[in-house]
Amino acid sequence: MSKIFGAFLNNETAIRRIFARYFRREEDVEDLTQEVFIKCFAAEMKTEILEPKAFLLRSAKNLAFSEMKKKVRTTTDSIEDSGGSDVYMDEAGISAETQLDTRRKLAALSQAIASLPPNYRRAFWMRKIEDLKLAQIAARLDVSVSTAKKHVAEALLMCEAHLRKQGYEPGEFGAIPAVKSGRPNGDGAVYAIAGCGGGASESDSDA
Amino acid sequence: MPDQKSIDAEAADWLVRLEEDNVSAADRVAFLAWRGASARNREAFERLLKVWGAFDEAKVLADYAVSDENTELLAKDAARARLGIIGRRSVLTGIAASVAVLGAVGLSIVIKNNLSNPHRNSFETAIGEQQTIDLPDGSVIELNTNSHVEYAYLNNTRDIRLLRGEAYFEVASDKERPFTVQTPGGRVVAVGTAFTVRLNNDSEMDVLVAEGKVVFVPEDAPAARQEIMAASQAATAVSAGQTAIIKKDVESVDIIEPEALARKLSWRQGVLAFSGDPLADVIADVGRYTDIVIEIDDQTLRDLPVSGYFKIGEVDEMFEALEIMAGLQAERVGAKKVRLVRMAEAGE
Repeated sequence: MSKIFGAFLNNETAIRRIFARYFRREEDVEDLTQEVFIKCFAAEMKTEILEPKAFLLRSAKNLAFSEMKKKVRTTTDSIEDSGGSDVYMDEAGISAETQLDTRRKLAALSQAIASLPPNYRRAFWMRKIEDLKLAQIAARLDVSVSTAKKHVAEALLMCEAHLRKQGYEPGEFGAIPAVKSGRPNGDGAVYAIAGCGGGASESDSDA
Repeated sequence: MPDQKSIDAEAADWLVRLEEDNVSAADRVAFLAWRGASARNREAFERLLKVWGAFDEAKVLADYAVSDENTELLAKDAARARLGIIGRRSVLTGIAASVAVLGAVGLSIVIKNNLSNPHRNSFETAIGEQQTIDLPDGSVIELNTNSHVEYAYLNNTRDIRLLRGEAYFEVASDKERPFTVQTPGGRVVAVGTAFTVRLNNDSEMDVLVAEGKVVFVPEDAPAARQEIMAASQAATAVSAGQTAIIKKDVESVDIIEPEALARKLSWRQGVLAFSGDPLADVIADVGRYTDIVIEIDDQTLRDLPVSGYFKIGEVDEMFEALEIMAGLQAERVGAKKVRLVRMAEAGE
């Protein structure tokens, strides 16, 4: 489990309290709490975080502040627009409800990755989030290509188990509106009809 | 027959291999053979493919990772760790610390037993303190910040005096012994009810009734019990869900919405709650719980609507909440003085 995920689970109540002070609706508190996790976990995958708890709480306060500013701005003209770049998701054309749903699922997916052991987590992140190929992942992790492949494959299985444990059916995720996906979710047929492109077969000796 | 776990492992392995660019024709044929070998193979593969596809939605995480905000937080994280700074730094830390001392002693109250009258008990709270007092008959007094109450139980009366501040009274029903709260401005009489009395000054008070009914008896009314009861028949009653301003006599009685009532009573849970209240009122209310003087120089800020709630006694958090709720910054201008300014104007 990642440091941020561990610190998040240990301090979830404190994070909720930060939002609960300013937002009365339980959905808002829940949504923002998940947003904090998503942001901090994403940061953690980029750089090691030395003080995960402080990082989470600071991120939560920043988010509470930027959200409150938005809210105040809508109710009074007296606060100047400071133009903070606090919107990360492409909100165009997506209803608030859909967006909420998307964020919940994003949080669930993030937690699934965060719960993996370190090398599996890095391999899976590079493969699915950074879209690297196995050879690149192998080079970065300094392991063989087949080890990288095993990490990614096992990470997928662990993620599935994690999501099921959290009450998600993998089928549900197909319903996510494509916010920013590079390509539509494929189905099995893609592999059956994909032509017989040449290319050397990848070595797979040590199973 | 292979177990589900090994089927899943094979399916995952195929999936990851087929997602590479350099899939050989031999591998594709081998995959089709594997998939066609059993319905369970096909099921496992399609199921895992959905999970795999779901993570395409998570690609936005890559954008989160390089957001300006995260870059800034990461820089702070590294700096903090390097300097070994523990805890939050704030311009208000000094002030907060001085008030924290007040908060810490807040739980121990000053009980003065009046020796000249052993039946009269006195309870006082300092600024920022709160205290719950259990009375012999099962009634309860909850004393708010900077308040002073005395009580004396005699054979046929329950005689309470609110000398300063604000108190919530939860009165055990006893028709034979009226529960009277004497204030400098007059008496409030209850039989079985829950209400607060807050002294605004020597001659004016707010009465808020949560349950039952209370009556106000002006100061010049007769003192004897029968006479109080008789007078109370004629006196103005304040009922549950109403709030009254009393100055010599009842000045006004208003119905209060349940949500507003809950907010007015939220101090009993150690919380101050506001819903669109003008900043000036919020400051006045917050000011009751701290010895720090809070100023607003910019008069246009006085009507700024403020919503939210925060814990009494956590003064640092109160300012932080005001910062966040109203976009204001608290600047320390003296040992016991803070000025609220708009965020952008604050000199850092």
